[in-house]
Amino acid sequence: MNNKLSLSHRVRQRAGVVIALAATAVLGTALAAPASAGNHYFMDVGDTAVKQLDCGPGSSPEAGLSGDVPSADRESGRSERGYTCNMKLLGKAQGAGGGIVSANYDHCSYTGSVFSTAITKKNTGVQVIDAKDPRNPKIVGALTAPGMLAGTWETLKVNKERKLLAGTAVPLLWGGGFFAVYDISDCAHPKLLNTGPGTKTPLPFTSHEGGFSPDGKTYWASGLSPGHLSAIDVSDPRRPKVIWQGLYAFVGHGFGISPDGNRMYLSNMAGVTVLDISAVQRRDPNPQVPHIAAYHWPDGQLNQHTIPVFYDGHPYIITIDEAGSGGVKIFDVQRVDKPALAAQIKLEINLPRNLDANLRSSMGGSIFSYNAHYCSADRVENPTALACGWESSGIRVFDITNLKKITQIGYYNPPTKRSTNPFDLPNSPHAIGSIIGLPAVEFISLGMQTINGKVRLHEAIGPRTGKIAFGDRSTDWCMSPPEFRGNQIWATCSDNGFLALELSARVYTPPAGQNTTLGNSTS
Amino acid sequence: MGRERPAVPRTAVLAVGASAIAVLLLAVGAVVGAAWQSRDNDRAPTMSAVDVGFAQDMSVHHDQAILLAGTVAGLPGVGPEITGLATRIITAQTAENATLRGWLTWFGKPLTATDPMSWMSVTDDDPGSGHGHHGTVTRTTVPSAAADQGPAMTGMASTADISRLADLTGRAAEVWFLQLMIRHHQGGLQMAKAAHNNDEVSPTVKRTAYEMMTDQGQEISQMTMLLEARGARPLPG
Repeated sequence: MNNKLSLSHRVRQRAGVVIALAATAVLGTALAAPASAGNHYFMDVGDTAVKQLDCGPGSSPEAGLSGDVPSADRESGRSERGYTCNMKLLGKAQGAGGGIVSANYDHCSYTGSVFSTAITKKNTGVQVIDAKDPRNPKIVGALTAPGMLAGTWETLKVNKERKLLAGTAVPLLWGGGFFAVYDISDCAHPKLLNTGPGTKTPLPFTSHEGGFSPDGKTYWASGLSPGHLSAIDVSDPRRPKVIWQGLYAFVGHGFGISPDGNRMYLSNMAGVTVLDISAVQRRDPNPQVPHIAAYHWPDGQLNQHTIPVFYDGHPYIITIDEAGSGGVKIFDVQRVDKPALAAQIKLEINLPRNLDANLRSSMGGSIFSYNAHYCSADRVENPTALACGWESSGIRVFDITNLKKITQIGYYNPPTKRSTNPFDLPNSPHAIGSIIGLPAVEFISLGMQTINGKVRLHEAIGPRTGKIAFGDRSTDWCMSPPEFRGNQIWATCSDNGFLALELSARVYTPPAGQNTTLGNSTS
Repeated sequence: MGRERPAVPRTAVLAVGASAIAVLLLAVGAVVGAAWQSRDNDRAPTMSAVDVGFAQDMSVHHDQAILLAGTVAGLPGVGPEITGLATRIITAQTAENATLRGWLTWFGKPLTATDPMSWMSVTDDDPGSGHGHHGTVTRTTVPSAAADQGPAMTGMASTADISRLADLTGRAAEVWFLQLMIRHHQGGLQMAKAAHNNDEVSPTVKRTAYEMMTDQGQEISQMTMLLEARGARPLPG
């Protein structure tokens, strides 16, 4: 009997590996073309949750699996009080919602726009928040150039060195043409620089996502389908120009650029595509952008973006998946043709064996559930902490000083807005997305782990199973990259808007040269 | 008492035996041949190195044509003759790029070349002629200031050329666009000719290259007329 069980277990495991391999190969080859330095596959589906530091006094921790907002809490209204561990709220500015990706500079924050605010005429455009007093942040203005007006999706980024804020028009998933770049040297009063090209006349690019090269002289626009990539020269921000364009995958997404501006890690949905962008960075007269490698993995799809960092001078990438509970992966990329998976970060709710619980509680929420979305490290060289917007799990902060001992040191999952009117939040993609009640982005991983025998589908059924439409907003979505400011963390979540948080000095000491990086923006 | 069999001449036996063996060998040969033929027919098509190089480099070349056309179409004061032409170029070359990159993806080849233009032979003894015999074509050399930055693809506009276009308006933008695009198409024509005349390309690539030669040749004529109507001439070759 035992033999039979173990045989069937082995068969299932083998089938699971085969399915995972096939899924990765299909996604990898369908969505990202192979590269000269080869396609590299990483089949290690992480099944270990990140360690957690104890929650200190004043915390209001999660009771069940880490990252989960259980059905009972959603039904009882417990999630409307939020969950905290070694973090507390200082102040907030909700406005009409927090958009998808926001950016910060100096004592200001800029809240990304969603197309619906252009229709409702409430909080239209990118909102300027003055957070000089983090306990009392205030909306002090709005940016309404065509590039900012009708949705900025994942394009709103800052380059601190040049004091520039830029974004592109992405009404719904895919956009382009209009581009706006502002001088933010007086952060509460940004000045539009490109009053002509990109504002009066469209530029020839498409976008879903975007970001700056580290020197702030190029704004790269990317995605979504086809995976078009455009280099917009902003050396003279008054006259932005598209100087190079190419296509590297049939689906593209965000990216991260190495600090020298020469290498791009472009999301290809089943991993990352590595491009040599040095010729554009150098402004060669005849630039070419070789596709040098691609890295793929089966757990986690819709790779979001990548943060290149160094540990003792050795290059690594921190890369984030926004679907399939892939969490965060960290690769040693000293040799582009010989990458090594150095670490993975998953919460308990992301583990293969917990994907049934994941579906059970996230039904009746919306299309995204407990995935990492945008993260930032507290410095490029020897980063000590990583903070992530982890969608329905809120803001999560990890000690990444030692890649072999990564530990979650705090979290803040904000109070939900279940009892508020969704029409009061036209700038919240979560409020809009809650028309759908199904956490659709989880199903590839769920399917793989069902075949692998790790998921028991009957355990995925619960009191919320029937809620396939009109999600109840019993969690928020934290999509935006958090920013380290000493012991404060500035973050933006879709329903709650801008949040100034404080991380306990007991668990975090800002390192010398703290300087938040997210790979395509410095803030 | 049996009847004695008539004696069969030895030579007749040998002849019949030899014929039987010949027929047998023929049958075996026919079966093996048919199997061989069938194996040939069943063999999946492949892309030769030249097919791959052409698809990689021509799609990158097209990317820039699409960028040039997209740039001029958004500039103030550019007339409908030029924006219409630009739109047609964007449509045609986007479709061709989908085909070229569709092949590469289908056959699992990288979208960009490790060594761009290497599928076109270099003829050092015939520099600058644009094309040699039997489909060989010289690579365009880059200006000396950029000598260590690798060769440009034939007819490609430089970053400075594109920036200049983005800064122009009206008739000046139209003229510079036409000049850049004529040179770009001439480069594309060279690449398409090289592929078409190469013995190593597959019939599909040959046909596609021929269609590109036809289309781009016609557009060169049209753009030259539009340029002359604006009192300007193509850039020197």
